Amino acid sequence: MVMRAVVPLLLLLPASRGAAQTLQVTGIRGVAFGPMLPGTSAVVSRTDGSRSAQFDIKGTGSGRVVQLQFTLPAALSGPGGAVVPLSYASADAGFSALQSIASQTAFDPRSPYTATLATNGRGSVFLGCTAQPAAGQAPGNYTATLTLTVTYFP
Amino acid sequence: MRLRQTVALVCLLAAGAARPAWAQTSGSTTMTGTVLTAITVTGSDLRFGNLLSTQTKRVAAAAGGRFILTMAASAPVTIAYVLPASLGPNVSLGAWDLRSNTINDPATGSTVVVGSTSGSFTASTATGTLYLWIGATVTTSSAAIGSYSRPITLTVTYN
Amino acid sequence: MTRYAALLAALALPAPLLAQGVLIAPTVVFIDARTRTASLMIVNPNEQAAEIEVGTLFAYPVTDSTGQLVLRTVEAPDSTLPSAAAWVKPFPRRMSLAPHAQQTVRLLVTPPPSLADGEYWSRIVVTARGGQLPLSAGADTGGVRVGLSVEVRTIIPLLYRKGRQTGGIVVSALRAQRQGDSLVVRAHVERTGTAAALGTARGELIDSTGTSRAVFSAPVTAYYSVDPRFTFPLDSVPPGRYRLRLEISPGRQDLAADAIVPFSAVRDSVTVLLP
Repeated sequence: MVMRAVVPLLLLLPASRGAAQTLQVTGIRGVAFGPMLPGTSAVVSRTDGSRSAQFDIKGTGSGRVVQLQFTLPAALSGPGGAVVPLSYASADAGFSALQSIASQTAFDPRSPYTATLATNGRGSVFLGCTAQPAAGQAPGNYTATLTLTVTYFP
Repeated sequence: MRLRQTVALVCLLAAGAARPAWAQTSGSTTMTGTVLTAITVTGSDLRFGNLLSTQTKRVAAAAGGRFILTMAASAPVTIAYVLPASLGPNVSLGAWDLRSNTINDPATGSTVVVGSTSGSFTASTATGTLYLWIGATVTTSSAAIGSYSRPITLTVTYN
Repeated sequence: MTRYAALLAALALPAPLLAQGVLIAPTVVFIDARTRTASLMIVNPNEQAAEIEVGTLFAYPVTDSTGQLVLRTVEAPDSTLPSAAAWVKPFPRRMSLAPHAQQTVRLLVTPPPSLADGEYWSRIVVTARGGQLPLSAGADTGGVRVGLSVEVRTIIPLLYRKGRQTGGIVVSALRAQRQGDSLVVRAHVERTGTAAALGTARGELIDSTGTSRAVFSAPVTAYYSVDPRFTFPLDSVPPGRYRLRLEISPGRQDLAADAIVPFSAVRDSVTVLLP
């Protein structure tokens, strides 16, 4: 008798609980400035296929809305604590539901952005950036971590 | 009693399931760049303009050819020069005047002693910029009408 | 003697100066035996096109009797010399660079198969020439037109490393002598490791109270041995007895730290009497 009462109640639990909430973000590549000269700004466009950053998003469901938010590094860090400042322009990021660098909608990477994933649950985000080595910048390799956080909207 | 407990448990589960599930995830990549040290050497020509078939004309260093070296501060460089002794029959060069300075002011620059048509000197500047000016005296002696030109070669060796 | 020794204006109106030159980066090329390649960035910073040529030769810096660095060039290095010049191929070798254009030159190293571990040297020579020098700004009315064009050659080191390298130097014959308003310091620096010593010399003049009265810092490069010349300004240093301390440590301000083969810093000191 207990089971006969419980089972219908269990069936009333929302079917959406946990089932379609899978969300995956993969960093494909970071912004690669390559060789930079002291005192000369280095600019990477979000449409540069080899040097721009790319993140691929894989979700479930069709046409889900997501919020994209970058954690942008302020500088590249290098030898002996030297830093190369970075700056971002209002159109330095782009989203493509088709996952195509040639087909992006630009957005400001400094603010959260709402995007709609494709019917297959996928999308890609691209980022460009400007590095500003100083005239007396210490030579060597510089790095920074770039993070993209993707959140499903209900 | 047992039924009441079971119903309470189910209600708790249902309450938990009723909250929206905010899926959120992050991904990271590494941004990279390599700062290179560069050296820039540029030079402008030394022009004497038009002369008479027989004439002596001097262009002082301050008004002559100019070289600008830009490099890392205190970088060790050696500068060698090769100067033409003549530009052709009856057109000779001499009395070379070479001056250097770390700022763009030949008047306060140092004189580089030019003993022959080739030589070298070491240069290292705290600012990373070095200016060189070069002048000379050209003498034509019944020179034929025409154009006379030879190269000045400046070799900058980074050590 | 020409029949047209006409009287002409001595000077044409000044014309814009034509400039030739090049930007090269990096200024020292390090190539590892595992990769065998490197890139050189060449930029034409001028408003005129430039003809660029890239070549190699074997040379290394030494010092002359005055302590000035000079490049010792060996046209045909034999097997006793660590020359990499014959194995280094630049691509492209010749190029015409438009104003403000940039070109990446690939340096490919193909050493002999039986090459022993060690460090091998070459020099990269980048020659930049401008176009034809226009010798007259106005209409050609005859006369003798004279000008000197400019050819700029930039020579940078290339170090090829196979296997693990060791670094080391010894310093001897430290001495100093006042010359005018400067103290000229000389020393003998000799490489003891397998890699060229790329370091920085720091000097300090200490008075009898232990106070530092003057300092200098200068790069030091020892491929074999050098007798460099350093200079202290003595503007505010009174006559007296001082202790000169010299230290040479690995690393240079213009080179990435990870490219330096480290060596133990060496120190020496000598008493100096300033008249």
